[in-house]
Amino acid sequence: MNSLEEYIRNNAAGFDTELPPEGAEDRFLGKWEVVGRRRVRIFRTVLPAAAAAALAVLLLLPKADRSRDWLRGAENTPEGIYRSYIAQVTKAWEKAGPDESRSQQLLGLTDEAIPLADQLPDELSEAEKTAILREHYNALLDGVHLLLK
Amino acid sequence: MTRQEATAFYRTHSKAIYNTALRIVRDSAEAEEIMQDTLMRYIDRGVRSATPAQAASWLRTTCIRMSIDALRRRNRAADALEGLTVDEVEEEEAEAVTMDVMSIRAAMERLPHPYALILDLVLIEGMDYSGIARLTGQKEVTLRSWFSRGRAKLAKELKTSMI
Repeated sequence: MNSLEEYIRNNAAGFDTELPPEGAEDRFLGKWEVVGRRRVRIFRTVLPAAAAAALAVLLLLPKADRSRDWLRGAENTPEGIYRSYIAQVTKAWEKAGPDESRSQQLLGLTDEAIPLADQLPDELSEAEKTAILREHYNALLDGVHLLLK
Repeated sequence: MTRQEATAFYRTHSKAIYNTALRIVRDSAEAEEIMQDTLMRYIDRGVRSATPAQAASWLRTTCIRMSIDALRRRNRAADALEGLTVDEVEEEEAEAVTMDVMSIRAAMERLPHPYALILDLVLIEGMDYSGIARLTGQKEVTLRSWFSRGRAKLAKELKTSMI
């Protein structure tokens, strides 16, 4: 590594000198509010019925016979399961490379307008939520790994 | 996420993400759009429980991917990544050049896009060649060659600007 290269590496943060254009923060908050309104609408209308149906299916189905638990190393909490899932999805994106159609498939498979964790009823215990999320995200990760095979 | 949290989130991450996008697409309006989309994608996915470092890493990776996608959409990838005609550049060491961030930044902006892109991804974003190869579809050996030539071009550019 020559000194120029070393200098740039050591001062990488110093290259972030430009400020976003004027009004960018207001435009961001405008978009954020639109997304928030969309979420509220979904919560009030579609979600209660869909969540109840999904939960019933998940609880009634026999536990899947998994040869691989993609979330085996995750902390055994709803947040831990979700963090591990997101970390694996991020890696999958990196692995997908520049293939546009594959990226779209990956996005379609993993993108959740509202994460399942936010849809689970408060009445469920942490252990029940964790079990449901583990089952749900393992199924999605099965698909992700199949897609990237 | 409350409005206050969204504002704090924006103020924490927007500048770094904007600069990452700007260095790649070299267009302020487009960089802002990519920054906004990156931040909104993070919020929309509800990745709220990640640590700040994980969040920053996720945002950076997503921003770089979206910026390169933007180059492709504008068909600049043909110049930037695929149809590169590599100039013959003498390898020269940069020991003699004055080094300060503003001069280097300005010199990088004057470099042809592929060289600036590879130097940015390796030196400033800290990506490894395998990650860049996955992102760009180029072979690692090609990227290493571009990097080496880009580094030499940058040194030459800095020396020229001192004269």
